[in-house]
Amino acid sequence: MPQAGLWEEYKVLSDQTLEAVVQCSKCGFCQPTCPTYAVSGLEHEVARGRHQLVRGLVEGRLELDKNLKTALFQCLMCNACYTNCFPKIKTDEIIAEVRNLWIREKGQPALQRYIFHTLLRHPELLGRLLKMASFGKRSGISGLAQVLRCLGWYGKNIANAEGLLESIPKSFLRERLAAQSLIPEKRRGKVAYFVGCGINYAQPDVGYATAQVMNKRGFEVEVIDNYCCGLPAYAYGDLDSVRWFVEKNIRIFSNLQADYIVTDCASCTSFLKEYKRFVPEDSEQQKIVKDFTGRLRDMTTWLYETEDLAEYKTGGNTQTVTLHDPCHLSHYLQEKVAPREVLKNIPAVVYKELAESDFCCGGAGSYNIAHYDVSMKILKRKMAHVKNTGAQVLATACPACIIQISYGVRKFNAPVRIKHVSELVLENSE
Amino acid sequence: MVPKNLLKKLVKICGRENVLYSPTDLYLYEYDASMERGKPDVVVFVTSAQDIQNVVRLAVAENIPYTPRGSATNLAGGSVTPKGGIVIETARMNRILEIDEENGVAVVEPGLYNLQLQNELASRGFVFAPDPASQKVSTLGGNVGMNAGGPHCLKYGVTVNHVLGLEMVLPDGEIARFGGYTQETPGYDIVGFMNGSEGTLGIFTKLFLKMMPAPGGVETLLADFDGIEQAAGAVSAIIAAGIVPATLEYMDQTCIKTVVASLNVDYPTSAAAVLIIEVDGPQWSLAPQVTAIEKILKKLGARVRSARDNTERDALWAGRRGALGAMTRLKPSVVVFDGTVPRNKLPLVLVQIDDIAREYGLFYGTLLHAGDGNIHPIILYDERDEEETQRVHEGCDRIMQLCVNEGGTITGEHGVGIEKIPAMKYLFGEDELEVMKQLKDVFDPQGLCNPGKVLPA
Repeated sequence: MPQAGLWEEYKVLSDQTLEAVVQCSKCGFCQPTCPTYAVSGLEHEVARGRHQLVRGLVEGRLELDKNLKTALFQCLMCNACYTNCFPKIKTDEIIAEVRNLWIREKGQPALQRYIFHTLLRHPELLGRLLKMASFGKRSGISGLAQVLRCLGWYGKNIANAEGLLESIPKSFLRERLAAQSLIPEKRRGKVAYFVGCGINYAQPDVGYATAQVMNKRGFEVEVIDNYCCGLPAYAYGDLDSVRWFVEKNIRIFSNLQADYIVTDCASCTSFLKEYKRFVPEDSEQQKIVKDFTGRLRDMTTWLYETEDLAEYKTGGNTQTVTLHDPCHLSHYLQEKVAPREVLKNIPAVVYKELAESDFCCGGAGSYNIAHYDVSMKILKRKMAHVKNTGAQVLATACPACIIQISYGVRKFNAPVRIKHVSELVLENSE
Repeated sequence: MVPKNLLKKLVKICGRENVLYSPTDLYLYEYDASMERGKPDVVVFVTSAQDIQNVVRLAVAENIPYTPRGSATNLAGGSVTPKGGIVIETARMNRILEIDEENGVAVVEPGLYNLQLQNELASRGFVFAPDPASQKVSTLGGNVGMNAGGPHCLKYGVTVNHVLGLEMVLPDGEIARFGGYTQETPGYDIVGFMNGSEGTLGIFTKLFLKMMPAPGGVETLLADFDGIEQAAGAVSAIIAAGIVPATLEYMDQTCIKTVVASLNVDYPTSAAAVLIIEVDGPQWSLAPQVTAIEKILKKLGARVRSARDNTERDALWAGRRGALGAMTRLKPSVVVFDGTVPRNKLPLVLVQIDDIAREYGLFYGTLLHAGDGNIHPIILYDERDEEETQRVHEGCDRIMQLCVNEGGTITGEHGVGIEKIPAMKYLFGEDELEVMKQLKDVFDPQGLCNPGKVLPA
């Protein structure tokens, strides 16, 4: 394959990104699958257009300016385009690299720097601040931002997004799990549980259910003392921070003795699988990465693989359940079978398929705060489909989706309860 | 650049957020899925026939070119603006207005994806026969504008055979309707004339499309051959025997090897070519068709496999559906050549294409909608290599001449657009082109409606 050719001079972006961009044949098949394009119809809101923008930048026809920024930062990085892309262009990697370029050339916004360089790197500080928010009377996003001492940086976005977060839990998952035994009576093996930030700080009930289910299936649970997986920093192009998190976590993973490494956040699972990109080839770290990704499972996949150990209640009331596929599960890990099969195997579940189940909910980490209006248009479409199912419960497998769709339930009056697959499995287990 | 007062007027018609003119935006509307480029001066998003009418009237008054655009998946430059002007984007006009099951008519707006209509019809037991490979993303307005084909057009005819009526804004700014709910319209066949007019005679605002009952059942066969001539010969032999399959698709060895390597499909890599043949109709009619086809195939030395259930059927199709994608992963740039020859000329033409490819050093694989003689050599190259790109252009031109010399045409379904204008001269004489030119002038005397397309200047 020829090298960057006439772009040989252009060293600001990696060869890999240049090759990916030129590989786009502009066929346009990404259009019907791209959520931002679906709600806007604009060429700069779809992978084809974004590839061409990067190309314009490389060829010197476009400047790294505000217009380019809007187009490239408004991408959800949901990867739906990849699923439908003929030459399988990894648009998320292009976007991350151009966002990184933006940071290098224009500087990183103070808020992002504070989150990725201070809060997420010092979990004890983040925990302490969040505790203040939960004990004080502060609620909503602005209360949270006030406590985190970053309210001023959010600007006008914060007012819109106010209702996204209902409350902050009184105790975090790590504290709850530390206070009890996680060794089952009949021990079949051991799971090392990677606790994602969203689960730990916002949805400890989900993580609690995850650990309980693992115990019920005969697995001892070791709670990994991990850092953030690095995905939030990746999404904003802060690749230095990504490498920091990757390095810290790899050091922790090197000592794990467990049959499986499991996380119940689909975003964490998929990003942990990407770690190989951030460590040198043929290095000791690469060996550790290979070893742990071999044992790594998303919780839904783990549930599916250990399905023969499930003991479900029978004879009770049934409930209609539908499924929202988290993007990181369906479009990154290309896993759509496991969550469905797990749900269908529960005797009390009447499974109903959701139209456009793998269409992003618009949550996308903190996208719903940064791009509230676009996010809400995407969520509205999701909630209309959810209502059409008539389901009593919507199951999913990612904390960002749970937060976003729960907000959708309140905002668009959808009579449905949102649960993580782990929670449904636990409720229905003997 | 468009004058400020014109922008103001466009904003008044379409709304501020529906008018784009920043340099970044215009850069993004200078291409489609072809190799052509041409920067517009302004892009407007329309949501109604009245919007389009008002924009067209304004353009006519100001003497500015305008070009309709749907998903811009055109493969010959049909939605590119070589003369600049206004892009009229119809993607947001995407409603299904009416489904009349009793009369078998679906009324839709032009920006609706073909597949969205198919899905709606399928839930009611109907189909819209034209099924271009791009149906997931191409708009029905574009399908009619290009008179699109697709695998099922062998048996059921191309788009023009399934359009009962059109509402459109003519280049003089009037809204006109031709045809509608009936099978036949008196007077000149304007509906037929508009099919394949590539947006040069006006802009569709409403389409009246024919719904057909979904076939009762399908049978799918995969036949592999040791020689391309036998495979191509089988195509005419089947049809000469009085059997019209629903689809008759051909893939050559390069495509087979590529899909097997990247898609985990079970095609024989030693085969020179495979045919994927599907018959449809009431259940009772399937077995006799299959038996007759198998007999012909075996006589030509083919090995034949049939799908026992839907899973196997999907598996047989997976390779064909994934072929273009798998091929595009081999090199950065791709041309999906499109031409048509009489189907009994396929064996000869395929061999000659191979000769041309060798002469110009082209790397390619061939897919055919073999039943209707529609050839799609997929040529892979790197557009950053100017010398190679030039060879691709020249090779394609030679293949077009070959198609015409053998009694075929320069495009089967992608249209003429910009790319194939020079080749119109291979196919038509001065007089014929003049007739077309005069017809164009009747509708669009100022030459503002999608200029620079279809006809040589």
